[in-house]
Amino acid sequence: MNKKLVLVTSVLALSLAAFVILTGCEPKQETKGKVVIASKIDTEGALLGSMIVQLLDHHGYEAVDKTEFGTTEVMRKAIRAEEIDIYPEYTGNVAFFHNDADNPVWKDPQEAYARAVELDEEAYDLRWLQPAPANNTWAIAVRQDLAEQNSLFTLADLAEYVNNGGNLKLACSEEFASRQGALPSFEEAYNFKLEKDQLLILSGGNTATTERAAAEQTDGVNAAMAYGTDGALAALGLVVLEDNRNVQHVYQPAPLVRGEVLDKYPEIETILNPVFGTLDLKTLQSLNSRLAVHGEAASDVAQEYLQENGLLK
Amino acid sequence: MRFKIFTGLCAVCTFLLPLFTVKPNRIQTGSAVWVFELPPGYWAAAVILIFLIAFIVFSRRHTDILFLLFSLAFMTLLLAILHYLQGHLYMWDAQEYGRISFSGGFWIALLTIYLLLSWAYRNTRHKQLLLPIAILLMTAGVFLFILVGSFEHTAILLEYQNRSQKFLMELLNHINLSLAAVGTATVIGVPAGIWAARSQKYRILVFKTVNGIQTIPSLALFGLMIAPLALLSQQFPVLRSLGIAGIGTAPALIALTLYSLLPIIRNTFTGIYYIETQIISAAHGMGMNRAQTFRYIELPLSTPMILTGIRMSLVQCIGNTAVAALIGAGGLGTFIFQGLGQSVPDLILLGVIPVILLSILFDRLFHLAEHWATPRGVRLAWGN
Repeated sequence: MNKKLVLVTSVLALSLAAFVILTGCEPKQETKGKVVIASKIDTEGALLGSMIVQLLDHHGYEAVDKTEFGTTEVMRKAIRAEEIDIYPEYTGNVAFFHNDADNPVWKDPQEAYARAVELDEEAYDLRWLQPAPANNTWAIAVRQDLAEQNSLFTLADLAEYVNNGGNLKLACSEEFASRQGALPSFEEAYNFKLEKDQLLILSGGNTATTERAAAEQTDGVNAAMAYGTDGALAALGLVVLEDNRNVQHVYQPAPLVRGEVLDKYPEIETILNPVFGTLDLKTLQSLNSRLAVHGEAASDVAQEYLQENGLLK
Repeated sequence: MRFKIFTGLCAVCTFLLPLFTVKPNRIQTGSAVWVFELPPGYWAAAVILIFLIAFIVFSRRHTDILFLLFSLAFMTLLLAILHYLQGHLYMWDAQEYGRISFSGGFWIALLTIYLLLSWAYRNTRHKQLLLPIAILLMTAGVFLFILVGSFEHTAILLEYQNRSQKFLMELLNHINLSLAAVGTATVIGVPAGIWAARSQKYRILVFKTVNGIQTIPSLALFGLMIAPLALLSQQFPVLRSLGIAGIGTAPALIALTLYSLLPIIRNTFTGIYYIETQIISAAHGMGMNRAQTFRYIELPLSTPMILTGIRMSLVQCIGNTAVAALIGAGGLGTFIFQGLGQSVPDLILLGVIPVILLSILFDRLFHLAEHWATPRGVRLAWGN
């Protein structure tokens, strides 16, 4: 009878062995070399990651697709542990990786990029390629009807509206409400103050949930924390208020590559730079909205865009 | 009787709640669809169906065929409504990117169908026949509606289509991870359980350890793996070349294995320790030595119990593996966390539903294995 137990155990053990073998030896093909591409677990990550995968694949690399892999922290650990070779990161984030958040350079696109390049290369030999001319920073979006009725275009307009007793309720995450770089810095720079009952704090909330709350006026919410390049804004009838005093860090997306990999395949830079150069704010918003709102596949949207722009045959 | 009334109540609730939600695009909440908003034919069919079900609920006749027919009629009505919605999305302000999600009424309808079927199964004289026929007819029905395009705008399928390749990969990944973890846990756990049954001293040690592990929340255990493993792989390049690193498969596999230990060790221990002493004495009396007693008496008698432990581990592990997506190990959890991040419930369901189905599937498979591994004598003694 114990033969049966042995059999069951050996089936399980075999599946373990098969698993190790399958993950360990992938079939080798004739390519220029293997590059592991990852991206963050959001729609923009899916889009940019998919573009990089398709371009490198097109140029004869074995592009291992690990897009939509994990959070910023996981990405950062993975690239430092040499588990991934390349992923799209945002320049402004580097301030927090290196405890440099108070430095004013992060508020200027060029200076922020230069600082990111300097810090990451020195500390971890990570190289930044050309960034997209789009700023995916923290922002405040309000309902279109509210903006039109009260002619709100900038955060200064919003501050005036709030200070004159205008009705505003903002949906945001705990982090947005309390982190020094976010809402408090807006309040300080534009000289307004949102009381507790003017905030709807969704703990662990992301911009998808806060924007939805504003669009549906959940609990009287008419404004939401947002990111500059969010694709859902237009579909939900929200407009982003301009940060005309440049309070926020600049978050430009750019491919981040391990130095070792870039030295080995310097061609990567010339392949990816033209693409990121074309991705301005409007383009990213509309591509993101096709993913987030229409639910199109990231790979289709990426492929179509690259082909339209003659970057992929 | 209570069972029948519950079934009837479920049937009524199906139509009291919104059946579907029509969304204009992927992120807007959309509008709920009640059956009474549909053309008269649909809600008339629903009302008639409820009356018929109410009638058999209160009648004393138990006809299996009737219940089977009702469950099929119920399913057909549901699919017909879905098909109607496909063609009339504009009535709920949805156009090209419109999509249909399942709502409360739909899920209760599934429960109703299940209850009607199980009632039919209970009262039939043809147990071998009924289930295959029901499954065949239902699958045929669903396929028919797929062929005429009833599912084209179903939100969960649209999410699936966007990532069909990734879905297959993550599904296999999920199964692999779970099986590998439980496999490793079996290799460690069964000897540990036997060992615990033999010695009082080790028993305390073993159970203190595995009980302790079980109290660590799964997310924390995954997190705890990252630092030491990253350090190890940096120190020893050999490990790194084997794919062992702070994130990814290695920490997930270790954490899942640790979680899977308790049920296996506990059941192996119970299976061996609680064999009646008379049986062991009888074996010794027949002249068996310790090894023979173990091989011919203890192991066969405890095998069903051990397999139960492995089954419990596996079902638990399939659920836990979903969390592994957070440390980059992949699996179906990927879709759950993507859906949470984008606040798209249909994408969350694309991860959740297969996890549930996998758990049920492996649970059933192991039930069969347990039945098959139970010695005939024991089976007779238990009366099944």
